[in-house]
Amino acid sequence: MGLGSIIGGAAGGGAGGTMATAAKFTGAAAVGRQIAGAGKNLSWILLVLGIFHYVFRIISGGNYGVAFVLSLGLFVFAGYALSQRMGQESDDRWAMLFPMLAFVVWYFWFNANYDPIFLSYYLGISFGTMVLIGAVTKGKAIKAELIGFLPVLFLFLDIGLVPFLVEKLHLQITPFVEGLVLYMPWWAFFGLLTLPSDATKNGSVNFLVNLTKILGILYLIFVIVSPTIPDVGHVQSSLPQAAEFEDAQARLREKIGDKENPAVSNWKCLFAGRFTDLQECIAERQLNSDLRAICLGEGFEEGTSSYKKCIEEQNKIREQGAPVTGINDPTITEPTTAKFVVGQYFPDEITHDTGRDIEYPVNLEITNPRKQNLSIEVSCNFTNKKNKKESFVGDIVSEQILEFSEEKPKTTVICRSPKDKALNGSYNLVYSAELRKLKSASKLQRAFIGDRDEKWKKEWVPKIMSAHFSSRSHLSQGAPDLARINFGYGNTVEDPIVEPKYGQTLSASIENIGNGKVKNIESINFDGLEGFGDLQGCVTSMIPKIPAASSSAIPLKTCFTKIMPSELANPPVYTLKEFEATITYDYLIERTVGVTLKLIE
Amino acid sequence: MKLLNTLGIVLVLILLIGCGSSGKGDAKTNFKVGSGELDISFFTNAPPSKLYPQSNFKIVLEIQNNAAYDLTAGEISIVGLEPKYFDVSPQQQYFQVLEGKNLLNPSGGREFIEFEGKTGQLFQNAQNYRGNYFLKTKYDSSLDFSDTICLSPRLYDIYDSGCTPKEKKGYSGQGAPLGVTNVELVSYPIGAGAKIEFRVRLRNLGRGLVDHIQLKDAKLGGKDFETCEFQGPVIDSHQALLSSDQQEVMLLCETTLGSGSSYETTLAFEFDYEYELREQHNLLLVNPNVQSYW
Repeated sequence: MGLGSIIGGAAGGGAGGTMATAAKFTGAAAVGRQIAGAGKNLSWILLVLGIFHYVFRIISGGNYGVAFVLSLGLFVFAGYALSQRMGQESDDRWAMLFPMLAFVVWYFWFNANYDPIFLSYYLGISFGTMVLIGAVTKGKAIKAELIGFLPVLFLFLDIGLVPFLVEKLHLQITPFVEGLVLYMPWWAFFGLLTLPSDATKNGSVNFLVNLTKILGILYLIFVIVSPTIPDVGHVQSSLPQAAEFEDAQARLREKIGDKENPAVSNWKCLFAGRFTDLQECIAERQLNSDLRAICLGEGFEEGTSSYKKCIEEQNKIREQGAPVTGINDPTITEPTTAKFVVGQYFPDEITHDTGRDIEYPVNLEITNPRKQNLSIEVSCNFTNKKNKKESFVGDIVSEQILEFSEEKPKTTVICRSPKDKALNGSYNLVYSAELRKLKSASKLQRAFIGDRDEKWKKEWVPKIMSAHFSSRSHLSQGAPDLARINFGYGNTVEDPIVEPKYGQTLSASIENIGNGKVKNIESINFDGLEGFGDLQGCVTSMIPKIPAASSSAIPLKTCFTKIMPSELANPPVYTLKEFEATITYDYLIERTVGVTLKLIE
Repeated sequence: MKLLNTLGIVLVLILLIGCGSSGKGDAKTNFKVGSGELDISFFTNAPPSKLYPQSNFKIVLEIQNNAAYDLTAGEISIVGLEPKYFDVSPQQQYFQVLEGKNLLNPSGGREFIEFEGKTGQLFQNAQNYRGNYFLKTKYDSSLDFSDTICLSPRLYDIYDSGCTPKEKKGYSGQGAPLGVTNVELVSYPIGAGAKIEFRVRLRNLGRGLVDHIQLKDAKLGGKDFETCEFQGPVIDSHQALLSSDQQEVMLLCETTLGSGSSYETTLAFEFDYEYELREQHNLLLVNPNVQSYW
């Protein structure tokens, strides 16, 4: 059901509206007109209150608290106005309260938690309850439930959209979109939308009202859609193109791997009777299944001693603590990437007389914006879809070792089925490319303030935070390359204000960002850690073995020091310093393509 | 003869007009009003709005004293730039004295201060780097306050042919960022005379922060007060220390008046203070390979 029709259904009072029409059909036209009239008045009131709220927000400057309370008041009023519009003959209009309540609970009680697992539960329960209400009322309440989403949408636009995009999704929205959202009198617009088509007795005014409604709906759609459009809605293009969705899904599947579904863990813990420590039980099962998936992916057979050793090693890595997180540097729009692209001339289904020496070409597309000297080894492998044991290596007809230093090199990788194996049936053809000695760097800024009294800190720390560490920039930042090192440093690793008296910790992790696998970490280097004791040597003293089916981040050793250069321990005011960490690594990308070959009989 | 008379009258008129006109430097101009303070602006294209890697640049500041008092021991620092991207040298510059507005220099002292800088490389293939920094300016200055007030030692006398004392008087500033904003007069009888208390409120009227204030002199009718003390967070009775969120302080001065009729007299204070301005600015380093940046 489209927005317009919902609004039409809700707001269509008077001669042209649903309620009045319904009233005519039921023979209660007078009652319908009365209701529609009352609803019309409420829409006008909402329009006026919305304008008042908008003007108040503009002139009150930083007084967001009052504007926020007013928004909530208008949210409730909008719900009431809509319920009035639905008419008193509609016994099920109370049902529209449910989505409103569900949103308020999600947004305020659960702090707009958008964790997929949580959302699946929350939305599932909410949807289930709505279906139940619909079933109990024999479908009569469904319309009311859907209409209840309208005030929710407007409240979200009014108070929640910008912070949600910026703080939760970490999108750096453009000032343009920010302006579109913040400088729209949403509640006045809501009042306008809910006005009937014959809001006044003047035809020209009605025409203007209806035209504004149409423009308003277009505006609404644009505001909702634009944050997803790069260069319009947000500064950095982080959204995948259509073709990349597939890769993203594959990556997600790969990351989840054979990990136990959290819902299954939940049920198993409940059946095991672990009611008192349910969360611990779920976390335990999730961790165990994660480790199991990693070790199985490494090729160890379950139950063997090498498998147990693998589990122990992985446990040790986990015990080092949660991996440090980092963010994409918003000023780097071109990361280093590599992918196989299947062209439209790829012979995915062919008929052949022998089934031998069939050549399958795919494109290897690389983005190398920093012009690194890349060495890539490519290979291919066929696996029978029906009989997985039938797996054999194909021959690379094109160059097997490729070397590039250009920004956007392209090449075709041709895989030929072996002479001694006749293809017959459906196969998974896996192309692999191992990129060697790739380099990825991250940066981290910290403000060294020296030993200061509380008065100084009270005056300066908020200024330093606002000037240098707004919007998560206290975390390390790097290009979203195939892999990246994330690191944190400070009195606590996330605090960007460093004081010499407390001692400092350096913690780092390696994050697999691409769709493939980090095969090997060759080296880790820190720049800017001179004069900080042996922090660099300490962190790099234990480079973990990267499991084949790695989870997204592998923590490195966490180190501690009390030493810092004197110019940072005693700065004249404060000193901003940037550290840089670089990893050199090998990375494997794969692409599986289904091929079918029919032999001519 | 008639012509000579006319010429003589014209000459006398010219002389009178010439002597009477004084333009800006009018002896009646009072500079010690309002809340004028140090104004800092950047010289055009210094620094440029966009900087490219490995290039030299200059930050040239034009400082203009709009206060009615000299600014001394001036210190301007650039704080918070990461030298990897913007290496500015020196990071601190000084000015000894910047003259306040006066009859001989009605627009106040002006000076140019220059910082040399060199840009570094961008991080990897970043499109740009915006370096926020603070321009921290610190100086010492003074403040004079004087007004004519009415005092009445005989509080019980209803009829007094003299002046009428005012309990409270407000002021809009004395030509400096720190100003006396109001003076309250509280008096009570002691014997034949009266004890008088002045509650002088000093407030930061400028864009920066007052660090500490020192009372140099306080006089009523040319005589010292019996006591004069700052209230609240003080270093000593004559020195107040202000915090960033409390940029206001009260000075209490007391004296005893003998018997007599009401009269008008002068109330005068002199203060020294330390002032600090912190303004946030930024430098933008852009990647020359990025064709358009906005």
